[in-house]
Amino acid sequence: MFTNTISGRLALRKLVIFISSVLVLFYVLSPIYWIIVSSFQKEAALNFRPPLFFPNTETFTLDHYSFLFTGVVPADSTVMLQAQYTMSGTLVYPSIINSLIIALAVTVINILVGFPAGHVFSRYRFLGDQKLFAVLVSTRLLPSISIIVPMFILMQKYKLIDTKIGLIGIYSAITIPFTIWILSSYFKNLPVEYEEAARMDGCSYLNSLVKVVFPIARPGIVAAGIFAFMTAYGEFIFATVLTRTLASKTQTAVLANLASGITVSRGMISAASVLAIIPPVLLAIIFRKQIIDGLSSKLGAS
Amino acid sequence: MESTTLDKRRVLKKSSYEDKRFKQTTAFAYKMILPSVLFIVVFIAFPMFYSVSLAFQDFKYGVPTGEFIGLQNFIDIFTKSTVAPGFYNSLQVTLIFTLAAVVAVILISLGIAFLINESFPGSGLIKVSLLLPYAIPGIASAVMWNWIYDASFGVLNGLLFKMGIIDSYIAILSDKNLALWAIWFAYVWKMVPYSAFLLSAGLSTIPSSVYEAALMDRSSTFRTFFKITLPLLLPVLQLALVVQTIFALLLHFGLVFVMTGGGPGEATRTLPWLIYQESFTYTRFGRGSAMAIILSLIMIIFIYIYLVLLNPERRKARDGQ
Amino acid sequence: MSYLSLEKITKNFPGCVAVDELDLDIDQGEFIVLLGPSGCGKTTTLRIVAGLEIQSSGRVILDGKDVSDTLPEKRDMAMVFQNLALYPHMRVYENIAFYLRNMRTPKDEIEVRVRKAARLVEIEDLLERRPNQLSGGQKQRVALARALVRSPKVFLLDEPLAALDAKLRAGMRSEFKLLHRSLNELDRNMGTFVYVTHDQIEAMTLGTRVAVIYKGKVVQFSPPKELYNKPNNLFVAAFVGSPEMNLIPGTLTMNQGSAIFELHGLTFKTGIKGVEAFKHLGQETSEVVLGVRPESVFLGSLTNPDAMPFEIITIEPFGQSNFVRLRSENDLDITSLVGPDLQLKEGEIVGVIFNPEFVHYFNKQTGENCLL
Repeated sequence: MFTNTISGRLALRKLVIFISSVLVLFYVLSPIYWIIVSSFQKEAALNFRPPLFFPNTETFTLDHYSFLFTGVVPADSTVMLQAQYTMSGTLVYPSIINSLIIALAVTVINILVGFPAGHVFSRYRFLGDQKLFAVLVSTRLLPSISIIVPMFILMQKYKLIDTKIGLIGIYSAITIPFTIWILSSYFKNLPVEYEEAARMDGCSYLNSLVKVVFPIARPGIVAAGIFAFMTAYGEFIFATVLTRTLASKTQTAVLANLASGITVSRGMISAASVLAIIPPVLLAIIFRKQIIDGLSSKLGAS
Repeated sequence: MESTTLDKRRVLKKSSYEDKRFKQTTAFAYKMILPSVLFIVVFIAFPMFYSVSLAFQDFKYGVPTGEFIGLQNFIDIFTKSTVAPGFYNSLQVTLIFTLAAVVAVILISLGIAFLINESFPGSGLIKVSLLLPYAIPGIASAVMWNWIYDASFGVLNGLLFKMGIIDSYIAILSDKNLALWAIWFAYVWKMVPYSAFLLSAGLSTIPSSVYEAALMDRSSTFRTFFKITLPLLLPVLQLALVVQTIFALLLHFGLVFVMTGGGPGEATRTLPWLIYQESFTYTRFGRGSAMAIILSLIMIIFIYIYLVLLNPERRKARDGQ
Repeated sequence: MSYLSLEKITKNFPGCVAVDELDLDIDQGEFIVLLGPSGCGKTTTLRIVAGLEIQSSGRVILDGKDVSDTLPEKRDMAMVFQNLALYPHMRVYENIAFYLRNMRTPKDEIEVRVRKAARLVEIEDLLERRPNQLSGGQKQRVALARALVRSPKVFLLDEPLAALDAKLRAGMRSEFKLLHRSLNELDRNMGTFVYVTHDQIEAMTLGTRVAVIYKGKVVQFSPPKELYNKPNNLFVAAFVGSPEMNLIPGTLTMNQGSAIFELHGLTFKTGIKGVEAFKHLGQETSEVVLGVRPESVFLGSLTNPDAMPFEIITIEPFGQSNFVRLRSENDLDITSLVGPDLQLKEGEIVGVIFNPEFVHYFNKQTGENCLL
């Protein structure tokens, strides 16, 4: 056909890339598009069969969002929906704040604790280093299901249910091994000379870590931090099980609550989802390079 | 003669200086690692062991009695089908789902990996877009798909109806034959980006000159893929398979939680969901923990299969050729 | 009709012109070297010949056929890549046999041809090894064998010796030469090579003709000896030859029928060559660059009236000879290559004479050799 010439082949390549790009974009973005559009549609419009595929100025509304933030039920909801709204009665921003605080705390802990650990694994050889590293990394493979039961019982016993500390502790334990893994492989590609020069200049180990290694290792730290933050933010199993009161719930737990409850307004739940999506997505867009490098295990380019 | 043996011994034995330094380093290293280990021991290891012990205990009204009943919980699971509803069904559903999910994720992300490995205007946009399913919290994704699959007003039904493929809306998530596949599709959607980037990185380690050499050696597209790309990609592929299998065994939970609750009937009651039910709905923590242990064993078996089967055998096959 | 022709090949990249209307005619059985500094476009040109890079304009014609748009694998050319591009997961045997397998050659024929190619480059005992078990030189030969097994119309080599150390390079150079000769003898001119390098020693030893490439254009295309003795411009003169030619800018003047070259207060009687050069330039006095190789710079006594006074700065042993750096009163630095029996010492002032037969004059503005 036209694959018998170079120019033919180049044209074919362009075509294939174009078509697959369009397909991939559609595949990846269409569900997200749909939920965003849905969150801005009046409840009545969402009950069309078939629904309106494209946003429409007539059916546009911010009611769902305003309900989530102020508790004001949309004026045009039916009686049944009104009842459902008031029954669920959740204001979303406390949960957003909870999520943010917890995720931030987990990130800070990860860096504080994982940084020296990762550094030590990468620079030194010591008794049991390989085995310990393997054990640490393998904890990531653990099903959280296995831990849920005892965790619930234990948390109850120590009165850590409904506390941020409980979740922070668990999330830290879950994310630290991955942080150590990322950082240690990142450090391996970092030249040792800087630290050695600092030691020669009289810095203690900790001093050299803080003053010399930390500034240089910023890309790796950012990547590790982002992963920890996103994992902590997006987790919902522990969050749902270990929080009872609404005030202590994280955003994901609230969403889980809404989702598993009686059929609530679809517009509202779409809006709640969009709100839950925004922080991680923003982070993903801002820190896309670090995340992609981390996912490709390309930190430092081995 | 004598002096050489003495020298050998001197070289082989670690000097006391090196020994001392090694011990110092070890002590120091563990000091640095201690906080991390503490977190893991307290929040993971301890509950893990507790969970294992729970599997061997008897329970009354949801409270562990401390009475050890050996393997009774395990035996109950395997033998009493009324006591532990649908364990074998769960196994079956889980295995089908895992297989289908891993195959789909790997195939699709391999295709996407080829795409993002090329540089072309807009590749940056595609990469950022690919991050979105990954970034979205699992529960948000579950809610999103739940709405798409909605039986009364969902957009999927709407699309199919408008295109004339169906004459009336289908209750997808309530259909015994469709529910699992609906979850499968939503699951694959979320997991593809992770492997796509990993595989793309693996692809990029193959120098383009190898492809050019293959081109000059008149290798067809198929041959190049199977004889050059795939073998060189094998280690990364192996990693991707292991990771995706573990994910598939566990991470579908949110989707089941939101969309089907294990139903309709037993169609989507995977092992993780069964564990959840046993533990929280029926408060039969002992059996729940026992099932969790079984799940972990299944995972270990899969990992073993990948690491052992894909490694030495490939090498033997290569050498033999 | 030449065997391989490049007609006005141009390649534009965003921001620069890599190859600029390059013309080249190559006969069958030749060993052509594309010589030039890094970034001058020689590798790009080679890849265009192979078809791995597509030209912005121009044609490639092989054995009468226009292959400008033909797919690289259909051009009947073999390429040895700079990083060798051996298939890392295959044994050497499979690396060489890959092409034959793709062409569905029967097993016994593959066996024969692979062993024949391996024998030509002396790697028969390495056939069962993997690339990562081979040394640089051995890998090099596997890459060659891979090309040889195909009996292509043209062999394309992209700086194949770049990754080897100096000693290996010297050895491989001779092997290339022998290979070229035996291919042409065995198979009636089936050894047409196009070889890219920045190493002028390689070019001079290996090439039947060398194309010096600068900024995407062929600056001179001649046999090595001609390149050495008759560089047609400044660039070639400076690039070719080790140690480098002395290049001295100055003025050429006619004085009562004989020409004089003047610089920094030094005077050099040019002889006939200067007169010719002057005629070529067509002005009363002209700015030229005088080129003279160190081996044509003689050191003698100051008593010679034509000698120019220079102080000896350093004397470095150079194999059997001595490499002398000299400086004039007005800070002109030149070099000279003299024999082993040097009685002179550093710091002495000597009389320097250029052999007028071997002096070149280049137009300062255009860089052209005035006498060619």
